[in-house]
Amino acid sequence: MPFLDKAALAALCIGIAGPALAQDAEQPAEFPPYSVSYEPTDIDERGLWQSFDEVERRVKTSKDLIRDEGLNSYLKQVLCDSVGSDRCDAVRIYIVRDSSFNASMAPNGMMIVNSGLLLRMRNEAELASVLGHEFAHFEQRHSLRIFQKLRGSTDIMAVVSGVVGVPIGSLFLLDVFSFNRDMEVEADLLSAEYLAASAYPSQASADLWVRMIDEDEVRAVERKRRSRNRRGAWFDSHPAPKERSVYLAEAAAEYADVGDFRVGPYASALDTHLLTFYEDQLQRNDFAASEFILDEVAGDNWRAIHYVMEGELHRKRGEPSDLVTAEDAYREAIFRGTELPAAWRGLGLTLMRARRKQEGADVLATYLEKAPDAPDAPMMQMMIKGSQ
Amino acid sequence: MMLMKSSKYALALAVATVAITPAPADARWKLVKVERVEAGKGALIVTPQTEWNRRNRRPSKNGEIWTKDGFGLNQLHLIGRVGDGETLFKDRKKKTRPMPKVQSDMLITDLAELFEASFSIEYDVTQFDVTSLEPSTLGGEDAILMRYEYALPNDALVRVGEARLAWNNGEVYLINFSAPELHYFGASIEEVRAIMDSASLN
Repeated sequence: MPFLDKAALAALCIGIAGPALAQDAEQPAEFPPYSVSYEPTDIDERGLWQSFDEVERRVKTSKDLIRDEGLNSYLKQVLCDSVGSDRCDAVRIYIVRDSSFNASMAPNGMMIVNSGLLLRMRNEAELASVLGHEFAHFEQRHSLRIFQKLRGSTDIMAVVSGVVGVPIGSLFLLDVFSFNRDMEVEADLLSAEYLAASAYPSQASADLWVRMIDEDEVRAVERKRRSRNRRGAWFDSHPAPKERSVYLAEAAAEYADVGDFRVGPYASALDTHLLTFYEDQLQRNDFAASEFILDEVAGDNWRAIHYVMEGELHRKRGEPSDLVTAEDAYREAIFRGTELPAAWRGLGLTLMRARRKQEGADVLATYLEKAPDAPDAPMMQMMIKGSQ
Repeated sequence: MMLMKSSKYALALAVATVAITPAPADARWKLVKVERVEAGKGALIVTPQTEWNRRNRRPSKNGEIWTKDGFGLNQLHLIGRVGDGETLFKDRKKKTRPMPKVQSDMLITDLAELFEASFSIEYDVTQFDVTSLEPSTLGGEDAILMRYEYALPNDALVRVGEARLAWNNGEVYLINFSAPELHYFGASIEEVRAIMDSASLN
């Protein structure tokens, strides 16, 4: 599929975001007019909605669903703050534990947000831009447009029923209705418009895509392959991240809005999950990108938890120089007052691997004092005994 | 969402169907009889108590996978002789999802983390939680016994597993069993533990 050229992008900018551009920075733009959520009209559309309701029922019982009420209500509030309170009630957000960077939107109002996406956000404004993007797909009825187009050429309900009928494959229905590039551009620009009208700065959207480019580039260098971001090969159905960062930066410059990125509230909301989400990322054996993510998340405010994450990053790669870095990181986390038992566990194992067994055993003993019921306690006791 | 629009609905259906199919149609299988057998090109010698099915395609150079009812319902990995710089599972997706490599100075607890990452990459696991780590034995060597829960994408089933990993002559050995918690894990785990208890490492 060819790239959108600049003229087409400009036309889309005008079509989608034109009315709100060039607002006085002191006078926030208003949210675009909202029409209430679409109700299916014929038997096929009602069937489609019911199919997604069935998918949603399965998502609710999925093992990888994160049910933390605090985090869920936080995301809902950010969505409401970014798109307006009259809009957000039409959507139900589900946070899924999956370390890949992704989110998706179904036509019945089900939004899925991966933990890997939450891990990569540096602030609330960036989260708001992603939630706004997904909401824009919903508001613009992109799934419905795809459905209407497919209905003309195939027995789409047979496909839908087939996919939903497979117990393990229900979420693949979202792939059937994956959005095309024009829709992604439209959602990007509408999301920027939401942000410009909200208390968040619209610049956050462009920031995010610049970072995704950088993350893939460090990964590409490590894996000795070409970066996917400069060209459209990254996703056939998505604009390249480079392209996104450019047109979103242009839109933000036009809005010239000011706003609060809300770094602190985002860090607080994610704090109890941050290490788990990062450990999931480390399971991907993706060192360079994981290091990049940590640097970006910690920014210029490295806290104790970030040092624990740094320790885990290096200990798990386990090259000789990593053991030195890991030891320093865990010690810094402890010095800064972390209460995470993982700091002592990691430090103890790092010392043992560096053949400083007695030191390691002493630290592991502290770990067991702090986490006597840890699932690995029997193994750690054996490691301590083995060093004596 | 990497799919071309013209074929994505057909492919989505195909992928969904494959997800519940035991193995591709071209997979070849061999019956594992109730007798002392060599597994992984002789890396391990084990004695099953019931019949299993072995897939001809190897998960690693010296490894094999057995199942009773299809890999979605139970799978037994028998993998051995994985040396320094090698991977537990074949490194099939080097450019996108490279496998972690064995390092000769790894602690026995590092083997658990090696398995956790390798298994997650091999099966696109979205959630892997260790429920217990204990000392154990495998083929007479000190081993780590790991129990875990995991989730696959878009899958409501609670899946659990039990693995033992050990060093033997500078090489890593693994026997792992994983299955849905509902019925299938409990149905075979006692036999699997007996296989682990009686395994020999070569």
